[in-house]
Amino acid sequence: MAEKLKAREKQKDTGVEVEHTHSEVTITKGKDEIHVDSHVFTLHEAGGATDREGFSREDFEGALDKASRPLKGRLAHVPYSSDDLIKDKRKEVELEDR
Amino acid sequence: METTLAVAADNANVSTDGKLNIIGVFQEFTAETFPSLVAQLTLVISWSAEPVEFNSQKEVRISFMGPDRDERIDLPPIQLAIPEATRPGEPAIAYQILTLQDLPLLKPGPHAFYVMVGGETKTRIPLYVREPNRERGKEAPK
Repeated sequence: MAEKLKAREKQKDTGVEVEHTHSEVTITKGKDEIHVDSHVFTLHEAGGATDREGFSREDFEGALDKASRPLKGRLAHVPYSSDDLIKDKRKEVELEDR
Repeated sequence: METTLAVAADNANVSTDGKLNIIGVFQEFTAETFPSLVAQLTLVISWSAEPVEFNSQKEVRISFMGPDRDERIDLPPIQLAIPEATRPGEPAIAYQILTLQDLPLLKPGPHAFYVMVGGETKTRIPLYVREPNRERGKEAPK
């Protein structure tokens, strides 16, 4: 039986660390020899979690501004919240009743 | 621990970001003659384990069986160390890729790889072995 090999590989941007265990063995069945190459991969949270902790409120708000900026102009007519929408609808109904 | 995917394929690998890539999934094999050897076959199994199983060790056993019991081949058991999940509250993920070379096939018919944990069959990977293609080599009618 071949020696068991172990390796760990870290992917910082996805925060995943892949642990890889490899072993080889040859089994016999009658006169046949079957070669078995076995790989096991387990997924771990990478030490890159510290990167996520370093993600501050300023980073978040900065990212949000970038995302929301182009929306402001095009969707300016959309009510700010569902409460506003309900208020507007009530006003419309009241006007219709009169 | 449960299987979320189990197939026979030509090849498979796991990328550094934890993605499982599988090439050429198949369920049938046509033998040239009997007995026959499958030059290469890759078994791909994806496991999902719940938080209560984290940091435990599981023994995975795989047996290949054909229509006859004497055709049974037991692969060596594989120890699977269940890791913690990559995110809290989610199941842990593990992938197994086994490449078999020179797998003997004695007879045509339904075959399967039985994947067991703790003596219980978790899944089966079917492989239907077809008889030699007798039509091959014949000229097409003019």
